[in-house]
Amino acid sequence: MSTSVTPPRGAERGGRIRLFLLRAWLPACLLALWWMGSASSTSLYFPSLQSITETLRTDWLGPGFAEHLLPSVGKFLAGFLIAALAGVGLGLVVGMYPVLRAAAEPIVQFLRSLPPPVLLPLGLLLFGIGPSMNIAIIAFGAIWPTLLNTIDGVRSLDPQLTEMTRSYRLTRGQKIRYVILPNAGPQIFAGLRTTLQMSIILIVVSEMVASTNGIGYYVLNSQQTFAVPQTWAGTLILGLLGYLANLVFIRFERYVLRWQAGLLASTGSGA
Amino acid sequence: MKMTETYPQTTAQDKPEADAAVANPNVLLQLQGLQKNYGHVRILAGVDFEIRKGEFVCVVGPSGSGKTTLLKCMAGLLAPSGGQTIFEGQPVTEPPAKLAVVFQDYSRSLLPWMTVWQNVELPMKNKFAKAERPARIESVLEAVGLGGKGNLYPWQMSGGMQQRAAIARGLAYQPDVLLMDEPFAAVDAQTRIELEDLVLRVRQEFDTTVVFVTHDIDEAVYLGDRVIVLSGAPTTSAATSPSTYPGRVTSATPNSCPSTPGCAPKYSN
Amino acid sequence: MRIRKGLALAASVLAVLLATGCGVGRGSAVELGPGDPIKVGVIPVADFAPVYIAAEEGYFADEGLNVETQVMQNAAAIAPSVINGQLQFGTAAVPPFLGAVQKGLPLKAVANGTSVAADPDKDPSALVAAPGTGIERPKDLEGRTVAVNALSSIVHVTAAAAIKADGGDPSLVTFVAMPFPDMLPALARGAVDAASLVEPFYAKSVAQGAEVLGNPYSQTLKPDGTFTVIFTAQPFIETNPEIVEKFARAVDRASAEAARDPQKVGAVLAKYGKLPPDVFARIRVPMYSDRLDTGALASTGELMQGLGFLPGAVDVESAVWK
Repeated sequence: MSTSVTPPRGAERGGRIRLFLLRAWLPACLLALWWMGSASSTSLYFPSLQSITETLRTDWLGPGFAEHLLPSVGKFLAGFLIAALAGVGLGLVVGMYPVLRAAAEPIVQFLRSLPPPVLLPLGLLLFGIGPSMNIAIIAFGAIWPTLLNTIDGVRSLDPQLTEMTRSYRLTRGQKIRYVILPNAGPQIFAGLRTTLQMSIILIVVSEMVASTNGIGYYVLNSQQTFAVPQTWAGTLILGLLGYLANLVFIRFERYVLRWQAGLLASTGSGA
Repeated sequence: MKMTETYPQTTAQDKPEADAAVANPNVLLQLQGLQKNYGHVRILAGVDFEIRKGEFVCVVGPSGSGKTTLLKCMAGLLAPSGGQTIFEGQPVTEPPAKLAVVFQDYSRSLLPWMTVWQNVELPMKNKFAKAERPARIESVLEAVGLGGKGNLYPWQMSGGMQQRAAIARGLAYQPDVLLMDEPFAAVDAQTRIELEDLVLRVRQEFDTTVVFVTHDIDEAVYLGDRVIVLSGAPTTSAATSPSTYPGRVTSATPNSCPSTPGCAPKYSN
Repeated sequence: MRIRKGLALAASVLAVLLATGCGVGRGSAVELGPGDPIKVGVIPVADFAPVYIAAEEGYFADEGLNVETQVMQNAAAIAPSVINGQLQFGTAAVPPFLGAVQKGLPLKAVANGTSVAADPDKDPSALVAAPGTGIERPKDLEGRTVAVNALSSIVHVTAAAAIKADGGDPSLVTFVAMPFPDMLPALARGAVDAASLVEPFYAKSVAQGAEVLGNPYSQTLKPDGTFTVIFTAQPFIETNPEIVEKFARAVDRASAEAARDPQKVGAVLAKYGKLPPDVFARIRVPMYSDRLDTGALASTGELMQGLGFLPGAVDVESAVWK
């Protein structure tokens, strides 16, 4: 009766290698093309990839790792986690009570339409100079997709499930933990993924003003001082950070929502 | 009310051990003039009957006769517009702790993010100590034919098995009465026969009172010790088969209709 | 995912680059015909009022030039646009201009924007400290946080120079970048200990009780020397020598006019810089001059190199159009 099919271990590994090769060939080719094409570049704005990787090595594996990368990663993680927890928590509360939802709707729509750069002066005033200001900007700017998706996911609970929880007299805590949150899970994670991507972008935005370190600071400063290989290197680091963060996140999402993949596969409404 | 006049309850014949009549301590569940309106639409216009301990009662009625509405009112999930349900001597205002419901649509009542085991265990958390649960879950799963399948997810199973799991969840909750809302409406005919026999078996095994709502007269007759027939909406009356003898129920059915002209289904639930 | 997209983008940019075979600044080597629009990227501050005056007073038209001004954020945004030919001329303070030249951008200054006022009373810049911080002189800023408008900007360079000139060590000072308008609230709330700012914020900070520690421009830069420049790209000069000559002449004429009649400066700033006339009436007007001072560029370059703002020496001679 079981519809779950477990392929033999060897086949799975072979599949993974094939998938990796499938994914890796294009970036690898592009990198090679870039390397060769830019090798003799004299253009100031398009330096050779070799000089960029040289900069990556000297700036980012060297002192830049502790001076710029670690602080930025720390701010990003703190900002993202605050946005995620606050987004899910607030979304849960707002989503569960229709009255609150109606009251919160205009406020949420107003706040989310504020572009984060506009908030920099305010953040500066409220939090002063330092990581707490950056974290606040990241958290505030990135919370909205998670918040809105959580509200939506909580609201989307099947009435029959609500009746089931009432009929079996589940406590509110049990209802939230075992029914409401898992039910909203797919939507919450969709929101979290956007929150994650915004958090990466907001690292740079938050470090535009009154910062003394970080990737955003490095990129901005190198751009303003016409240090082009540094600008490219910083951008690559940022892209790499985003890629890795996304990779870890998708692993986590797959683990938490593993039931959903099976459900979709069994009902034929998904891959 | 009217039906009570037309068909006075001949309780003495119902069960050998249940020979007392009104206000009998054996009466588990009692509906008194139950009414329900949705806005201006009257669905239930006064339904009276009672369920005795240990009985397997089928409530049968055409589509739109408010069967699900009636069941929700009995289960405390829906507040009636008039009248009341008395469960174990107490008026029902919220879902009673000793009452469990098996819903019509199993795919929407089992939690897809939990295994069958976890689904069955969830309602038990407030009722049974942690140490007591595994043995009980094991035994109900065994009883519904899902022994050893506890670690499957609902979506890894067929519809029939999912409904077995839902029944197991209801039984594991150890209710005094199990309300079942057209539980087999969505499974194929063969599975349905299997599940009907399963219900009869577990009811015996767990000594549970069952109220089984269905639109299928044959099913009602096959399963029930007693059959209660609802008229078409608005449901103004309830006819009760006087005994466990199935043959007499069929004759009661047409008689429940004349009071409501047309008897045509207006609303589907 | 993102990195793959990024690489794809980079590769396509690269492909275009290779296909067109354009080297540095070749995009600016387009020959303009008579009447073709000449675009100037201007930072809308008082220092570049001569460009606006030349447009308003018809000096460009007198030379037969069709000049359009475009508001830009900073030199880092203007320089690439001038290199690739989207803009024909740009404006910059000397430090970012020298920074770009030192990095190898083929830029040439064609006209003087403003010069450094020798008299501190006419200096629009100030290093101010919040009251009650106990900071009395630039040297006291060691270990403190100082706001500048942008890192490596003239404001940053001269603030560091002023601290060094006072016997302090600028490397012990934490400089943070924030827009001028945000500096006063940051000072008031104690987020920063001091700020290096310019008019009209200088006047406002004094009105709020800030302590003036010095006037960095007049104290650290060569008196009467070039402070801001109007520049173009070398390839553009090669293909359009006459346009450059006419353009420089019109701007010089406007600089002289600005020096003669400050009211015209106020008028263009109100129109292009959104500066209210009543505010203009209270600020120190920069010193306009048509004299492009190569010596001042060289001394600013040495100052920057000494403070670590430039990694090497700048060939100032090659960065000025003759």
